[in-house]
Amino acid sequence: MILRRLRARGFRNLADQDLQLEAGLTLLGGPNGAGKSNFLEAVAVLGNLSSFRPISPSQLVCWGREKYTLAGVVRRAGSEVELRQDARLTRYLTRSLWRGGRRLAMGEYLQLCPVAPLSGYDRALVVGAPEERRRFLDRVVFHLHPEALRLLQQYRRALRQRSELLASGGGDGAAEAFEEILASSGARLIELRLQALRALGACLEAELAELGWPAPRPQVRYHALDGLGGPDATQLGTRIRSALARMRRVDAQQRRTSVGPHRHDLAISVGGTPAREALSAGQTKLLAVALRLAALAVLEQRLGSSPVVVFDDVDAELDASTLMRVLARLAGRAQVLISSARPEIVVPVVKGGAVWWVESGRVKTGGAERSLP
Amino acid sequence: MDLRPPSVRALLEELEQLPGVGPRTATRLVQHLLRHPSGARRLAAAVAGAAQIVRHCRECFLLAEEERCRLCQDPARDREVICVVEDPLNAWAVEATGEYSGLYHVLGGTLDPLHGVGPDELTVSALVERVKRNVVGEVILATNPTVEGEATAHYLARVLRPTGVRLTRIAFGLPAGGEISYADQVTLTRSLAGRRGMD
Ligand SMILES: Nc1ncnc2c1ncn2[C@@H]1O[C@H](COP(=O)(O)OP(=O)(O)O)[C@@H](O)[C@H]1O
Ligand SMILES: [Mg+2]
Ligand SMILES: [Zn+2]
Repeated sequence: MILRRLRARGFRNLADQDLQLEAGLTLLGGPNGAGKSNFLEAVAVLGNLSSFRPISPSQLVCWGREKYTLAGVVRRAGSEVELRQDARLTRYLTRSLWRGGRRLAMGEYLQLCPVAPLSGYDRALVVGAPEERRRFLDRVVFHLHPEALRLLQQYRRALRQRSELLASGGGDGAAEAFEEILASSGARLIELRLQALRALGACLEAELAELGWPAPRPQVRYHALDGLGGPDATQLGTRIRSALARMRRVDAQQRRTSVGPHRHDLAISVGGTPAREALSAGQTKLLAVALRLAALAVLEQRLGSSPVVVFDDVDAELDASTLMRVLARLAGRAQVLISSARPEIVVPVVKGGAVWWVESGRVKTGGAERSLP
Repeated sequence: MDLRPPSVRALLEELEQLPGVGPRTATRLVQHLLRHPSGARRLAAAVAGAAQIVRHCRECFLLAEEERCRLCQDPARDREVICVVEDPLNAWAVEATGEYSGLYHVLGGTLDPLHGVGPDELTVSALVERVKRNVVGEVILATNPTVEGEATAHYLARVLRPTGVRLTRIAFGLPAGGEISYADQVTLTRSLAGRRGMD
Protein backbone atom coordinates (compact mmCIF):
# COMPACT_ATOMS: atom_id res chain seq x y z
CA MET A 1 0.00 0.00 0.00
CA ILE A 2 1.45 3.32 -1.01
CA LEU A 3 0.23 6.83 -0.30
CA ARG A 4 1.10 8.59 -3.53
CA ARG A 5 -0.23 12.04 -2.82
CA LEU A 6 -1.04 14.00 0.28
CA ARG A 7 -2.93 17.24 0.46
CA ALA A 8 -2.96 19.21 3.70
CA ARG A 9 -5.04 22.31 4.39
CA GLY A 10 -5.13 23.94 7.78
CA PHE A 11 -3.47 21.01 9.53
CA ARG A 12 -1.28 21.84 12.57
CA ASN A 13 1.65 24.01 11.49
CA LEU A 14 1.88 22.50 8.01
CA ALA A 15 1.81 24.94 5.13
CA ASP A 16 -1.10 24.25 2.77
CA GLN A 17 0.63 21.80 0.47
CA ASP A 18 0.13 19.10 -2.12
CA LEU A 19 2.90 16.55 -1.92
CA GLN A 20 3.91 13.63 -4.09
CA LEU A 21 5.14 10.87 -1.83
CA GLU A 22 7.45 8.09 -2.80
CA ALA A 23 7.50 4.35 -2.36
CA GLY A 24 10.16 2.84 -0.13
CA LEU A 25 11.91 4.79 2.58
CA THR A 26 11.73 8.54 3.05
CA LEU A 27 13.62 10.25 5.86
CA LEU A 28 12.46 13.65 7.04
CA GLY A 29 15.05 15.87 8.62
CA GLY A 30 14.74 19.34 10.07
CA PRO A 31 15.21 21.28 13.29
CA ASN A 32 13.03 20.90 16.37
CA GLY A 33 9.63 22.43 15.89
CA ALA A 34 9.90 22.37 12.09
CA GLY A 35 6.84 20.19 11.56
CA LYS A 36 8.32 16.72 11.02
CA SER A 37 6.01 15.10 13.53
CA ASN A 38 3.12 17.15 12.22
CA PHE A 39 3.75 15.83 8.73
CA LEU A 40 3.87 12.20 9.87
CA GLU A 41 0.82 12.95 11.97
CA ALA A 42 -1.00 14.15 8.87
CA VAL A 43 -0.32 10.77 7.27
CA ALA A 44 -1.40 8.87 10.38
CA VAL A 45 -4.56 10.94 10.83
CA LEU A 46 -5.42 10.66 7.15
CA GLY A 47 -5.40 6.88 7.43
CA ASN A 48 -6.31 6.15 11.06
CA LEU A 49 -8.25 9.25 12.19
CA SER A 50 -5.95 9.32 15.19
CA SER A 51 -2.45 10.47 15.88
CA PHE A 52 0.45 8.65 17.46
CA ARG A 53 0.66 11.36 20.07
CA PRO A 54 -1.87 11.89 22.80
CA ILE A 55 -3.44 15.11 21.57
CA SER A 56 -7.07 16.04 21.48
CA PRO A 57 -8.59 16.03 17.99
CA SER A 58 -9.30 19.75 18.18
CA GLN A 59 -5.53 20.38 18.27
CA LEU A 60 -5.20 18.96 14.77
CA VAL A 61 -6.60 22.16 13.34
CA CYS A 62 -4.05 24.90 12.72
CA TRP A 63 -4.28 27.54 15.42
CA GLY A 64 -6.56 30.38 14.41
CA ARG A 65 -8.34 28.34 11.77
CA GLU A 66 -11.54 26.36 12.11
CA LYS A 67 -11.20 23.57 9.65
CA TYR A 68 -8.69 21.28 8.08
CA THR A 69 -8.71 18.97 5.11
CA LEU A 70 -6.48 15.97 4.60
CA ALA A 71 -6.73 14.09 1.34
CA GLY A 72 -4.68 11.43 -0.30
CA VAL A 73 -4.42 9.02 -3.14
CA VAL A 74 -3.50 5.56 -2.02
CA ARG A 75 -2.43 2.78 -4.34
CA ARG A 76 -3.59 -0.61 -3.19
CA ALA A 77 -3.83 -3.89 -5.03
CA GLY A 78 -3.17 -2.18 -8.35
CA SER A 79 -5.93 0.40 -8.10
CA GLU A 80 -5.94 3.94 -6.79
CA VAL A 81 -8.28 5.11 -4.08
CA GLU A 82 -8.94 8.73 -3.22
CA LEU A 83 -9.71 9.41 0.38
CA ARG A 84 -10.44 12.67 2.12
CA GLN A 85 -11.49 14.00 5.47
CA ASP A 86 -12.96 17.43 6.06
CA ALA A 87 -12.79 18.48 9.68
CA ARG A 88 -14.58 21.40 11.24
CA LEU A 89 -13.90 22.72 14.69
CA THR A 90 -16.82 24.04 16.65
CA ARG A 91 -17.02 22.90 20.23
CA TYR A 92 -15.76 19.51 19.10
CA LEU A 93 -14.01 18.41 15.98
CA THR A 94 -16.43 16.86 13.53
CA ARG A 95 -15.19 15.09 10.44
CA SER A 96 -16.83 14.00 7.23
CA LEU A 97 -15.10 11.11 5.52
CA TRP A 98 -14.98 10.54 1.79
CA ARG A 99 -13.89 8.05 -0.78
CA GLY A 100 -14.00 9.96 -4.03
CA GLY A 101 -17.46 11.50 -4.05
CA ARG A 102 -18.98 8.99 -1.66
CA ARG A 103 -19.38 9.69 2.01
CA LEU A 104 -18.21 6.86 4.25
CA ALA A 105 -18.88 5.58 7.71
CA MET A 106 -15.88 5.49 10.00
CA GLY A 107 -15.51 1.71 9.83
CA GLU A 108 -15.29 1.77 6.04
CA TYR A 109 -12.97 4.74 5.92
CA LEU A 110 -10.50 3.24 8.38
CA GLN A 111 -9.93 0.33 6.04
CA LEU A 112 -8.87 2.45 3.06
CA CYS A 113 -5.37 3.35 4.15
CA PRO A 114 -4.37 1.87 7.50
CA VAL A 115 -1.15 3.41 8.76
CA ALA A 116 1.22 1.63 11.13
CA PRO A 117 2.35 4.37 13.50
CA LEU A 118 5.59 4.23 15.48
CA SER A 119 6.88 7.04 17.63
CA GLY A 120 8.56 8.03 20.86
CA TYR A 121 5.17 7.98 22.53
CA ASP A 122 5.01 4.22 22.08
CA ARG A 123 6.84 3.73 25.35
CA ALA A 124 3.46 4.37 26.91
CA LEU A 125 2.55 0.88 25.69
CA VAL A 126 5.02 -0.46 28.24
CA VAL A 127 4.99 2.13 31.03
CA GLY A 128 1.73 4.00 30.47
CA ALA A 129 -1.84 3.55 31.68
CA PRO A 130 -3.91 0.44 30.83
CA GLU A 131 -5.92 2.53 28.39
CA GLU A 132 -2.89 2.78 26.08
CA ARG A 133 -2.59 -0.98 25.84
CA ARG A 134 -6.34 -1.48 25.44
CA ARG A 135 -6.42 0.98 22.57
CA PHE A 136 -3.43 -0.77 21.00
CA LEU A 137 -5.02 -4.20 21.30
CA ASP A 138 -8.41 -2.99 20.11
CA ARG A 139 -6.75 -1.57 17.01
CA VAL A 140 -5.41 -5.05 16.25
CA VAL A 141 -8.88 -6.46 16.93
CA PHE A 142 -10.32 -3.98 14.44
CA HIS A 143 -7.77 -4.93 11.80
CA LEU A 144 -8.67 -8.58 12.15
CA HIS A 145 -12.42 -7.98 12.53
CA PRO A 146 -13.55 -4.59 11.22
CA GLU A 147 -17.06 -5.26 12.52
CA ALA A 148 -15.59 -5.00 16.02
CA LEU A 149 -15.65 -1.23 15.73
CA ARG A 150 -19.40 -1.28 16.05
CA LEU A 151 -19.20 -3.71 18.90
CA LEU A 152 -16.87 -1.36 20.72
CA GLN A 153 -19.13 1.62 20.08
CA GLN A 154 -22.11 -0.33 21.36
CA TYR A 155 -20.25 -1.39 24.44
CA ARG A 156 -19.14 2.17 25.23
CA ARG A 157 -22.60 3.54 24.67
CA ALA A 158 -24.17 0.93 26.94
CA LEU A 159 -21.53 1.74 29.59
CA ARG A 160 -22.45 5.41 29.55
CA GLN A 161 -26.15 4.59 29.71
CA ARG A 162 -25.68 2.23 32.65
CA SER A 163 -23.52 4.69 34.59
CA GLU A 164 -26.00 7.49 34.03
CA LEU A 165 -28.89 5.25 34.98
CA LEU A 166 -27.26 4.14 38.22
CA ALA A 167 -26.17 7.67 39.07
CA SER A 168 -29.71 8.94 38.65
CA GLY A 169 -31.16 6.17 40.77
CA GLY A 170 -32.80 4.20 37.95
CA GLY A 171 -34.39 0.84 38.67
CA ASP A 172 -32.83 -2.61 38.51
CA GLY A 173 -34.93 -3.59 35.52
CA ALA A 174 -33.57 -0.85 33.28
CA ALA A 175 -30.04 -1.44 34.59
CA GLU A 176 -30.39 -5.09 33.74
CA ALA A 177 -31.44 -4.18 30.20
CA PHE A 178 -28.23 -2.27 29.54
CA GLU A 179 -26.18 -4.89 31.37
CA GLU A 180 -27.56 -7.44 28.95
CA ILE A 181 -25.93 -5.50 26.12
CA LEU A 182 -22.71 -5.03 28.07
CA ALA A 183 -22.62 -8.77 28.67
CA SER A 184 -23.13 -9.84 25.09
CA SER A 185 -20.94 -7.21 23.43
CA GLY A 186 -18.36 -7.41 26.24
CA ALA A 187 -18.05 -11.18 25.96
CA ARG A 188 -17.59 -10.97 22.22
CA LEU A 189 -15.05 -8.18 22.61
CA ILE A 190 -12.97 -10.19 25.09
CA GLU A 191 -13.12 -13.18 22.81
CA LEU A 192 -11.85 -11.10 19.87
CA ARG A 193 -9.15 -9.55 22.04
CA LEU A 194 -7.86 -12.94 23.13
CA GLN A 195 -7.81 -14.05 19.53
CA ALA A 196 -5.97 -10.87 18.47
CA LEU A 197 -3.53 -11.31 21.34
CA ARG A 198 -2.66 -14.82 20.17
CA ALA A 199 -1.81 -13.49 16.72
CA LEU A 200 0.07 -10.58 18.25
CA GLY A 201 2.02 -12.79 20.65
CA ALA A 202 3.28 -15.00 17.87
CA CYS A 203 4.40 -11.98 15.82
CA LEU A 204 5.98 -10.34 18.88
CA GLU A 205 8.08 -13.39 19.52
CA ALA A 206 9.32 -13.26 15.92
CA GLU A 207 10.04 -9.52 16.08
CA LEU A 208 11.99 -9.83 19.32
CA ALA A 209 14.07 -12.56 17.76
CA GLU A 210 14.74 -10.40 14.69
CA LEU A 211 15.69 -7.48 16.89
CA GLY A 212 18.13 -9.72 18.72
CA TRP A 213 16.44 -9.56 22.10
CA PRO A 214 18.24 -11.99 24.41
CA ALA A 215 16.41 -14.38 26.74
CA PRO A 216 14.32 -13.94 28.75
CA ARG A 217 12.03 -12.32 26.21
CA PRO A 218 9.05 -10.20 27.23
CA GLN A 219 5.71 -11.96 27.49
CA VAL A 220 2.28 -10.43 27.04
CA ARG A 221 -0.77 -11.77 28.83
CA TYR A 222 -4.38 -10.65 28.95
CA HIS A 223 -4.93 -9.21 32.40
CA ALA A 224 -8.39 -9.03 33.91
CA LEU A 225 -8.48 -8.23 37.62
CA ASP A 226 -12.21 -8.88 37.63
CA GLY A 227 -11.61 -12.47 36.53
CA LEU A 228 -13.62 -11.93 33.35
CA GLY A 229 -10.76 -12.52 30.96
CA GLY A 230 -10.67 -16.27 31.03
CA PRO A 231 -10.48 -18.40 27.91
CA ASP A 232 -13.86 -19.90 28.81
CA ALA A 233 -15.73 -17.71 26.39
CA THR A 234 -18.95 -19.72 26.43
CA GLN A 235 -19.73 -18.72 29.99
CA LEU A 236 -18.30 -15.25 29.64
CA GLY A 237 -21.58 -13.49 28.85
CA THR A 238 -23.32 -15.06 31.83
CA ARG A 239 -20.39 -14.27 34.09
CA ILE A 240 -20.24 -10.63 33.01
CA ARG A 241 -23.98 -10.32 33.53
CA SER A 242 -23.87 -11.61 37.08
CA ALA A 243 -20.74 -9.60 37.93
CA LEU A 244 -22.49 -6.43 36.77
CA ALA A 245 -25.59 -7.24 38.80
CA ARG A 246 -23.43 -7.90 41.84
CA MET A 247 -21.59 -4.59 41.50
CA ARG A 248 -24.67 -2.45 40.88
CA ARG A 249 -24.77 -0.87 44.36
CA VAL A 250 -21.06 -0.12 44.46
CA ASP A 251 -21.07 1.18 40.92
CA ALA A 252 -23.97 3.52 41.68
CA GLN A 253 -21.91 5.08 44.46
CA GLN A 254 -18.70 5.30 42.47
CA ARG A 255 -20.44 6.46 39.32
CA ARG A 256 -18.64 4.03 37.07
CA THR A 257 -18.84 0.44 35.93
CA SER A 258 -16.18 -1.48 37.77
CA VAL A 259 -16.09 -4.74 35.86
CA GLY A 260 -15.80 -5.60 32.20
CA PRO A 261 -13.38 -5.35 29.29
CA HIS A 262 -13.09 -1.56 29.60
CA ARG A 263 -11.12 -2.23 32.79
CA HIS A 264 -8.84 -4.91 31.36
CA ASP A 265 -5.19 -4.59 30.53
CA LEU A 266 -2.24 -6.35 28.98
CA ALA A 267 0.36 -7.54 31.47
CA ILE A 268 3.83 -7.29 29.96
CA SER A 269 6.54 -9.05 31.89
CA VAL A 270 10.16 -10.08 31.49
CA GLY A 271 11.24 -13.19 33.34
CA GLY A 272 8.34 -12.79 35.75
CA THR A 273 8.95 -9.09 36.53
CA PRO A 274 6.66 -6.37 35.17
CA ALA A 275 8.40 -4.91 32.12
CA ARG A 276 8.10 -1.34 33.37
CA GLU A 277 10.23 -2.29 36.38
CA ALA A 278 12.65 -4.57 34.57
CA LEU A 279 13.68 -2.59 31.51
CA SER A 280 15.99 0.33 30.80
CA ALA A 281 14.72 3.35 28.88
CA GLY A 282 16.29 2.06 25.67
CA GLN A 283 14.90 -1.45 26.17
CA THR A 284 11.47 0.02 26.90
CA LYS A 285 11.55 1.87 23.61
CA LEU A 286 12.74 -1.23 21.79
CA LEU A 287 9.98 -3.35 23.29
CA ALA A 288 7.43 -0.72 22.29
CA VAL A 289 8.86 -0.80 18.77
CA ALA A 290 8.60 -4.59 18.77
CA LEU A 291 4.95 -4.38 19.86
CA ARG A 292 4.20 -1.93 17.04
CA LEU A 293 6.06 -4.08 14.53
CA ALA A 294 4.11 -7.12 15.73
CA ALA A 295 0.84 -5.26 15.20
CA LEU A 296 2.12 -4.26 11.78
CA ALA A 297 2.89 -7.91 10.98
CA VAL A 298 -0.63 -8.97 12.02
CA LEU A 299 -2.09 -6.28 9.80
CA GLU A 300 0.16 -7.34 6.93
CA GLN A 301 -0.98 -10.94 7.23
CA ARG A 302 -4.54 -9.77 7.13
CA LEU A 303 -4.14 -7.36 4.21
CA GLY A 304 -1.75 -9.50 2.20
CA SER A 305 0.32 -6.35 1.69
CA SER A 306 2.18 -3.81 3.76
CA PRO A 307 0.39 -0.74 5.07
CA VAL A 308 2.05 2.67 5.12
CA VAL A 309 4.50 2.91 8.03
CA VAL A 310 5.37 6.16 9.80
CA PHE A 311 8.06 6.32 12.48
CA ASP A 312 8.54 9.62 14.27
CA ASP A 313 11.87 10.40 15.96
CA VAL A 314 13.26 7.10 14.84
CA ASP A 315 16.64 7.46 16.53
CA ALA A 316 15.48 8.71 19.93
CA GLU A 317 16.80 6.58 22.77
CA LEU A 318 18.23 3.84 20.56
CA ASP A 319 21.92 3.04 20.36
CA ALA A 320 23.51 2.77 16.92
CA SER A 321 23.36 -0.99 16.54
CA THR A 322 19.78 -1.22 17.80
CA LEU A 323 18.78 1.58 15.45
CA MET A 324 20.32 -0.39 12.61
CA ARG A 325 18.33 -3.50 13.50
CA VAL A 326 15.11 -1.50 13.81
CA LEU A 327 15.64 0.12 10.41
CA ALA A 328 16.43 -3.28 8.93
CA ARG A 329 12.96 -4.42 10.05
CA LEU A 330 11.43 -1.53 8.12
CA ALA A 331 13.46 -1.97 4.98
CA GLY A 332 11.67 -3.66 2.13
CA ARG A 333 8.26 -2.46 3.25
CA ALA A 334 6.17 -0.75 0.59
CA GLN A 335 6.35 2.73 2.08
CA VAL A 336 8.10 3.91 5.19
CA LEU A 337 8.21 7.55 6.30
CA ILE A 338 10.56 8.29 9.17
CA SER A 339 11.74 11.42 10.90
CA SER A 340 14.76 12.42 12.88
CA ALA A 341 15.99 15.66 14.39
CA ARG A 342 19.50 14.39 13.69
CA PRO A 343 19.28 12.92 10.21
CA GLU A 344 23.08 12.85 9.97
CA ILE A 345 22.95 9.94 12.42
CA VAL A 346 20.24 8.11 10.53
CA VAL A 347 21.38 8.68 6.95
CA PRO A 348 24.49 6.49 7.19
CA VAL A 349 22.36 3.67 8.54
CA VAL A 350 19.58 3.64 5.96
CA LYS A 351 20.35 2.11 2.64
CA GLY A 352 18.72 3.93 -0.23
CA GLY A 353 15.62 6.06 0.07
CA ALA A 354 14.97 9.77 -0.10
CA VAL A 355 15.85 12.48 2.37
CA TRP A 356 13.45 15.39 2.69
CA TRP A 357 13.80 18.56 4.64
CA VAL A 358 11.12 20.21 6.76
CA GLU A 359 11.24 23.82 7.79
CA SER A 360 8.56 26.08 9.25
CA GLY A 361 5.86 23.63 8.29
CA ARG A 362 6.99 23.33 4.70
CA VAL A 363 8.14 19.99 3.36
CA LYS A 364 10.82 20.16 0.68
CA THR A 365 10.62 16.99 -1.31
CA GLY A 366 13.23 15.54 -3.67
CA GLY A 367 16.35 17.45 -4.56
CA ALA A 368 17.90 16.90 -1.20
CA GLU A 369 18.20 13.20 -1.94
CA ARG A 370 20.98 11.79 0.20
CA SER A 371 22.56 15.20 0.57
CA LEU A 372 21.70 17.15 3.65
CA PRO A 373 21.65 20.92 3.79
CA MET B 1 -31.40 47.79 11.37
CA ASP B 2 -33.31 44.52 11.30
CA LEU B 3 -35.26 44.74 8.09
CA ARG B 4 -37.45 41.74 8.81
CA PRO B 5 -41.04 42.63 9.73
CA PRO B 6 -42.14 41.19 13.10
CA SER B 7 -44.45 38.62 11.49
CA VAL B 8 -41.62 37.28 9.34
CA ARG B 9 -39.30 37.19 12.31
CA ALA B 10 -41.89 35.24 14.32
CA LEU B 11 -42.27 32.77 11.48
CA LEU B 12 -38.52 32.33 11.20
CA GLU B 13 -38.26 31.71 14.92
CA GLU B 14 -40.95 29.03 14.83
CA LEU B 15 -39.39 27.28 11.85
CA GLU B 16 -35.98 27.23 13.47
CA GLN B 17 -37.45 25.25 16.35
CA LEU B 18 -38.07 22.37 13.96
CA PRO B 19 -35.59 19.51 13.89
CA GLY B 20 -33.06 19.80 11.09
CA VAL B 21 -33.97 23.42 10.31
CA GLY B 22 -31.29 26.04 10.81
CA PRO B 23 -31.43 29.78 10.08
CA ARG B 24 -30.54 29.30 6.43
CA THR B 25 -33.18 26.66 5.74
CA ALA B 26 -35.74 28.70 7.65
CA THR B 27 -35.02 31.71 5.48
CA ARG B 28 -35.42 29.65 2.32
CA LEU B 29 -38.70 28.20 3.56
CA VAL B 30 -40.04 31.64 4.41
CA GLN B 31 -39.07 32.97 1.02
CA HIS B 32 -40.89 30.13 -0.65
CA LEU B 33 -43.98 30.48 1.52
CA LEU B 34 -44.28 34.21 0.92
CA ARG B 35 -43.89 33.76 -2.77
CA HIS B 36 -46.81 31.29 -2.76
CA PRO B 37 -49.42 32.83 -0.43
CA SER B 38 -52.22 30.38 -1.23
CA GLY B 39 -49.96 27.43 -0.52
CA ALA B 40 -48.88 29.14 2.68
CA ARG B 41 -52.50 29.47 3.77
CA ARG B 42 -53.15 25.80 3.03
CA LEU B 43 -50.09 24.85 5.04
CA ALA B 44 -51.21 27.00 7.94
CA ALA B 45 -54.65 25.42 7.89
CA ALA B 46 -53.17 21.92 7.72
CA VAL B 47 -50.87 22.59 10.65
CA ALA B 48 -53.63 24.16 12.73
CA GLY B 49 -56.07 21.37 11.88
CA ALA B 50 -53.62 18.61 12.72
CA ALA B 51 -52.54 20.29 15.93
CA GLN B 52 -56.14 20.50 17.03
CA ILE B 53 -57.39 17.08 16.02
CA VAL B 54 -54.46 14.72 16.24
CA ARG B 55 -53.91 12.82 19.44
CA HIS B 56 -52.59 9.49 20.52
CA CYS B 57 -54.82 6.45 20.27
CA ARG B 58 -55.83 5.48 23.77
CA GLU B 59 -55.10 1.85 23.00
CA CYS B 60 -51.94 1.75 20.91
CA PHE B 61 -50.67 5.36 20.95
CA LEU B 62 -50.55 5.65 17.18
CA LEU B 63 -51.55 9.08 15.93
CA ALA B 64 -55.30 9.24 15.55
CA GLU B 65 -58.19 11.66 15.15
CA GLU B 66 -60.48 9.65 17.39
CA GLU B 67 -60.06 8.16 20.84
CA ARG B 68 -59.15 4.88 19.23
CA CYS B 69 -57.32 4.84 15.92
CA ARG B 70 -58.82 3.34 12.78
CA LEU B 71 -56.52 0.36 13.03
CA CYS B 72 -57.62 -0.51 16.55
CA GLN B 73 -61.23 -0.29 15.36
CA ASP B 74 -60.66 -2.41 12.27
CA PRO B 75 -62.30 -5.85 12.77
CA ALA B 76 -60.11 -7.34 10.06
CA ARG B 77 -56.90 -6.89 12.08
CA ASP B 78 -55.46 -9.78 14.03
CA ARG B 79 -55.91 -8.65 17.64
CA GLU B 80 -53.73 -11.37 19.06
CA VAL B 81 -50.48 -9.93 17.76
CA ILE B 82 -48.96 -6.66 18.92
CA CYS B 83 -45.96 -5.11 17.25
CA VAL B 84 -44.14 -2.76 19.63
CA VAL B 85 -42.35 0.17 18.01
CA GLU B 86 -40.56 3.28 19.23
CA ASP B 87 -42.56 5.86 17.33
CA PRO B 88 -45.39 6.18 14.79
CA LEU B 89 -42.92 6.45 11.89
CA ASN B 90 -41.68 2.96 12.59
CA ALA B 91 -45.24 1.65 12.66
CA TRP B 92 -45.91 3.31 9.31
CA ALA B 93 -42.82 1.61 7.89
CA VAL B 94 -43.91 -1.82 9.13
CA GLU B 95 -47.41 -1.18 7.81
CA ALA B 96 -46.03 -0.19 4.42
CA THR B 97 -44.65 -3.70 3.92
CA GLY B 98 -48.26 -4.92 3.65
CA GLU B 99 -47.15 -8.09 5.42
CA TYR B 100 -48.39 -7.31 8.87
CA SER B 101 -51.98 -7.72 9.95
CA GLY B 102 -51.81 -7.33 13.72
CA LEU B 103 -51.98 -4.27 15.98
CA TYR B 104 -49.26 -1.89 17.15
CA HIS B 105 -48.04 -0.35 20.33
CA VAL B 106 -46.09 2.89 20.21
CA LEU B 107 -43.67 3.32 23.11
CA GLY B 108 -42.90 6.97 22.51
CA GLY B 109 -39.13 6.42 22.55
CA THR B 110 -36.62 4.10 24.17
CA LEU B 111 -34.95 3.76 27.51
CA ASP B 112 -32.32 6.47 27.39
CA PRO B 113 -30.92 7.47 30.78
CA LEU B 114 -28.52 9.94 29.18
CA HIS B 115 -31.57 11.91 28.07
CA GLY B 116 -33.56 11.26 31.20
CA VAL B 117 -35.90 8.68 29.70
CA GLY B 118 -36.85 5.77 31.91
CA PRO B 119 -39.73 3.28 31.72
CA ASP B 120 -42.14 5.81 33.23
CA GLU B 121 -41.60 8.20 30.33
CA LEU B 122 -42.69 5.48 27.90
CA THR B 123 -46.01 3.69 27.45
CA VAL B 124 -44.64 0.54 29.04
CA SER B 125 -47.23 0.06 31.77
CA ALA B 126 -50.04 0.63 29.27
CA LEU B 127 -48.52 -2.15 27.16
CA VAL B 128 -48.35 -4.55 30.10
CA GLU B 129 -51.96 -3.75 30.98
CA ARG B 130 -53.00 -4.26 27.41
CA VAL B 131 -51.37 -7.66 27.24
CA LYS B 132 -52.93 -8.72 30.54
CA ARG B 133 -56.41 -7.47 29.69
CA ASN B 134 -56.71 -8.88 26.20
CA VAL B 135 -56.14 -12.19 24.57
CA VAL B 136 -52.70 -11.62 23.11
CA GLY B 137 -50.73 -14.49 21.67
CA GLU B 138 -47.58 -12.72 20.56
CA VAL B 139 -45.76 -9.48 21.19
CA ILE B 140 -43.23 -8.56 18.51
CA LEU B 141 -40.52 -6.29 19.85
CA ALA B 142 -39.65 -4.08 16.91
CA THR B 143 -37.53 -1.38 18.51
CA ASN B 144 -34.58 -0.15 16.47
CA PRO B 145 -31.28 -2.06 16.43
CA THR B 146 -29.49 0.62 18.45
CA VAL B 147 -28.10 0.17 21.96
CA GLU B 148 -31.15 1.93 23.39
CA GLY B 149 -33.56 -0.01 21.18
CA GLU B 150 -31.98 -3.32 22.17
CA ALA B 151 -31.97 -2.41 25.84
CA THR B 152 -35.64 -1.47 25.59
CA ALA B 153 -36.43 -4.82 23.97
CA HIS B 154 -34.64 -6.60 26.83
CA TYR B 155 -36.52 -4.52 29.34
CA LEU B 156 -39.91 -5.21 27.75
CA ALA B 157 -39.13 -8.92 27.58
CA ARG B 158 -38.42 -8.84 31.28
CA VAL B 159 -41.63 -7.08 32.26
CA LEU B 160 -43.83 -9.03 29.85
CA ARG B 161 -42.43 -12.47 30.58
CA PRO B 162 -44.66 -13.03 33.65
CA THR B 163 -47.76 -12.65 31.44
CA GLY B 164 -46.73 -15.78 29.56
CA VAL B 165 -47.18 -14.12 26.18
CA ARG B 166 -44.90 -15.29 23.36
CA LEU B 167 -42.18 -12.69 22.85
CA THR B 168 -40.33 -12.26 19.58
CA ARG B 169 -37.71 -9.86 18.34
CA ILE B 170 -37.53 -8.86 14.71
CA ALA B 171 -34.43 -10.22 13.01
CA PHE B 172 -31.90 -7.71 11.96
CA GLY B 173 -30.75 -7.98 8.47
CA LEU B 174 -31.34 -4.30 9.04
CA PRO B 175 -28.11 -2.37 9.13
CA ALA B 176 -27.08 -2.40 12.78
CA GLY B 177 -27.56 0.99 14.34
CA GLY B 178 -29.95 1.82 11.56
CA GLU B 179 -33.60 2.65 11.87
CA ILE B 180 -36.65 0.69 10.96
CA SER B 181 -38.16 3.68 9.28
CA TYR B 182 -35.17 3.99 6.91
CA ALA B 183 -35.11 0.32 5.96
CA ASP B 184 -36.42 -0.67 2.57
CA GLN B 185 -39.56 -2.78 2.39
CA VAL B 186 -37.83 -5.97 1.30
CA THR B 187 -35.41 -5.84 4.23
CA LEU B 188 -38.15 -4.99 6.66
CA THR B 189 -40.42 -7.75 5.40
CA ARG B 190 -37.59 -10.20 5.81
CA SER B 191 -36.74 -9.08 9.34
CA LEU B 192 -40.38 -9.34 10.30
CA ALA B 193 -40.71 -12.82 8.85
CA GLY B 194 -37.43 -13.89 10.46
CA ARG B 195 -38.37 -12.79 13.97
CA ARG B 196 -37.13 -15.02 16.74
CA GLY B 197 -38.35 -15.95 20.14
CA MET B 198 -36.71 -14.11 23.05
CA ASP B 199 -35.80 -16.13 26.07
N1 LIG C 1 -2.60 23.20 15.96
C1 LIG C 1 -1.44 23.81 15.62
N2 LIG C 1 -1.46 24.85 14.78
C2 LIG C 1 -0.31 25.46 14.43
N3 LIG C 1 0.91 25.11 14.88
C3 LIG C 1 0.97 24.08 15.73
C4 LIG C 1 -0.18 23.39 16.13
N4 LIG C 1 0.19 22.41 16.98
C5 LIG C 1 1.53 22.51 17.08
N5 LIG C 1 2.00 23.50 16.33
C6 LIG C 1 3.38 23.92 16.15
O1 LIG C 1 4.01 23.03 15.27
C7 LIG C 1 5.37 23.06 15.55
C8 LIG C 1 6.05 21.85 14.96
O2 LIG C 1 5.70 20.70 15.67
P1 LIG C 1 6.32 19.26 15.36
O3 LIG C 1 5.85 18.76 14.07
O4 LIG C 1 6.02 18.45 16.56
O5 LIG C 1 7.89 19.58 15.25
P2 LIG C 1 9.09 18.58 14.95
O6 LIG C 1 9.61 18.95 13.61
O7 LIG C 1 10.09 18.84 16.02
O8 LIG C 1 8.57 17.19 14.99
C9 LIG C 1 5.45 23.20 17.05
O9 LIG C 1 6.52 24.00 17.42
C10 LIG C 1 4.17 23.88 17.43
O10 LIG C 1 4.37 25.19 17.88
MG1 LIG D 1 8.88 15.77 16.48
ZN1 LIG E 1 -54.76 2.33 18.08
